[in-house]
Amino acid sequence: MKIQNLSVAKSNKKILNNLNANFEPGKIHAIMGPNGSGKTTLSYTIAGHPDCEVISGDIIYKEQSLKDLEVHERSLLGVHLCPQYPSVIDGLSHAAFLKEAINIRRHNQNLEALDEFEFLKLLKQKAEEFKFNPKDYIRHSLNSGYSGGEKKRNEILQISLLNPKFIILDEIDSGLDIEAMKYIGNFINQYIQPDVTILAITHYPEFARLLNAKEVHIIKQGQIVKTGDIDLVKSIEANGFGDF
Amino acid sequence: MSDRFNPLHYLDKRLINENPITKAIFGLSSHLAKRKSEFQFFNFIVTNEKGIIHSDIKISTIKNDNTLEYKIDEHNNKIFWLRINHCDNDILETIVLPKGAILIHEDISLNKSSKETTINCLGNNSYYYLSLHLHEQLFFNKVKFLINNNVKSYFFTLEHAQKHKNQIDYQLTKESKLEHYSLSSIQKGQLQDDSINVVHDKNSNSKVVYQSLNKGKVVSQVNSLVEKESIGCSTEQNLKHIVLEKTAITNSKPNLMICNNDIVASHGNSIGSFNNEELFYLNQRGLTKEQAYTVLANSIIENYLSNTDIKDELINYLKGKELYV
Repeated sequence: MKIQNLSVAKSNKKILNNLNANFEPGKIHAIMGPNGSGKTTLSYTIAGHPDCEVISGDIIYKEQSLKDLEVHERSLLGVHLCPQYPSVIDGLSHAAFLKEAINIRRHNQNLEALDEFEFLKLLKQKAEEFKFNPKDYIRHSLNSGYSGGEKKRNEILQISLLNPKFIILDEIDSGLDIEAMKYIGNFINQYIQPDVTILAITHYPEFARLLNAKEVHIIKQGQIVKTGDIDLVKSIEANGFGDF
Repeated sequence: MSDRFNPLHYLDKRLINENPITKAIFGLSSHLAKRKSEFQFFNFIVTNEKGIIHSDIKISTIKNDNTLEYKIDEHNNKIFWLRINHCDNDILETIVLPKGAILIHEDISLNKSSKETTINCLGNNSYYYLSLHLHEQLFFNKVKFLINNNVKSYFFTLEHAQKHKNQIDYQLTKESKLEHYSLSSIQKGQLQDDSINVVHDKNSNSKVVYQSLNKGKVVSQVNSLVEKESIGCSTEQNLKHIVLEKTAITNSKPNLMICNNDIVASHGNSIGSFNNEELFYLNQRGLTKEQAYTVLANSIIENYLSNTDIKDELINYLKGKELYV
């Protein structure tokens, strides 16, 4: 994915300012920066959130501009955002929601929709793999009553099920204990493939290390001011973001 | 299916055979009865001629062709499914619900009609109102409840007349408790006009939750009246309207009419679309806007059904009418 001279405003306030970046596939990219620097705005703009108004510039993915694509069209191209605060929707069962999501993808790939039996079998397998009670999980309302850790596990379950290619993890480590953080880190490390790109927004150098991030991008005042390898986090640990 | 649930055993076969209209309607009802064999099934077919009445419900009097007074006195089964087919009628009915009884009250109206019901709830009752209206005229439903002890009341309208008016009056006795939950889905060109009136006696509690999924027009008014002498009460009103079309009109009024200071009272009223972040989340998983709207509307219905005691039965009912996927 290439981001070219991207300027974005939210509620008439300019957040991203002529931002340029190149997120190569096959790598985990850590995005770090102080609060309010534009990290979340960047991720929501890539996903197409209607509150993020693109003033100028472009986002190119798979040789096409994302700028004029609807949110669901970006998703079907493979762009997948795990938000910091996943939605909780009472009354919407995981089975009902994820069956829609998976069959839309299959339809888009000219594959036959999974029938009820096949789908439930697959979903139960995934639930078990990600440490949910399979019987309970399929009927449970989306994230309803889940702890922070369960919600994040539910997010990576969806990655495993829907198989996206450009994944944005918006502070997925926030509020997690060290065990949960390791669990998610392990999953991400196993998921990365030559055709997969992962952007991990984080405040914690520890999490960037855990992910074996190949590139670290420092974002400040709406621009990427420095890109380097994992050693950049040492400098952040020592001096914060003042040096950039 | 046990024989005692089969309405055929109770009918005057001659009347069915001689009347082609009742024969046809009864055929349908009998079919539905088989599908709901777990329920006591009562079928009233009210026509301008003499009605057919199958009954484990006792009919006290039939004042005229369209006036029914009955008392449910079955002790073995606490769930009653009462279906009324209206054919151009105005019906007056009186029901006495014994303690612990659950009544599912279903209206199928085939033409312009109205119904006025008085229900005496003797305690710990649940009441479900379901409606299906196959005409394009006005349906007026007036229900008056006398509440003793605890009562939960559900009004569930997924398909209705072009103009559907509910007037629901609750008279709470001392120390009684009412929970009322309405959910309506209003299509383009339809009007739902609801008025819910709660009158409190001393130390009584009420909670009214009213939800709509609106593509047409909704007028909803909830009035809670607490007189000066009705001390120690609590009352809560919560109205939520989801607007699904730009042209939809919602007129919503929660009114607290309170004449003393010894009370806990609250009311809320919201009119708006679905939560933007929820829509974005669903879109981000590949669902189009239309699919996301459908999924969220279904989640509201599902959530509503989950709060009932008879969720599975209601889902079967909706599936039978192809209103639930």
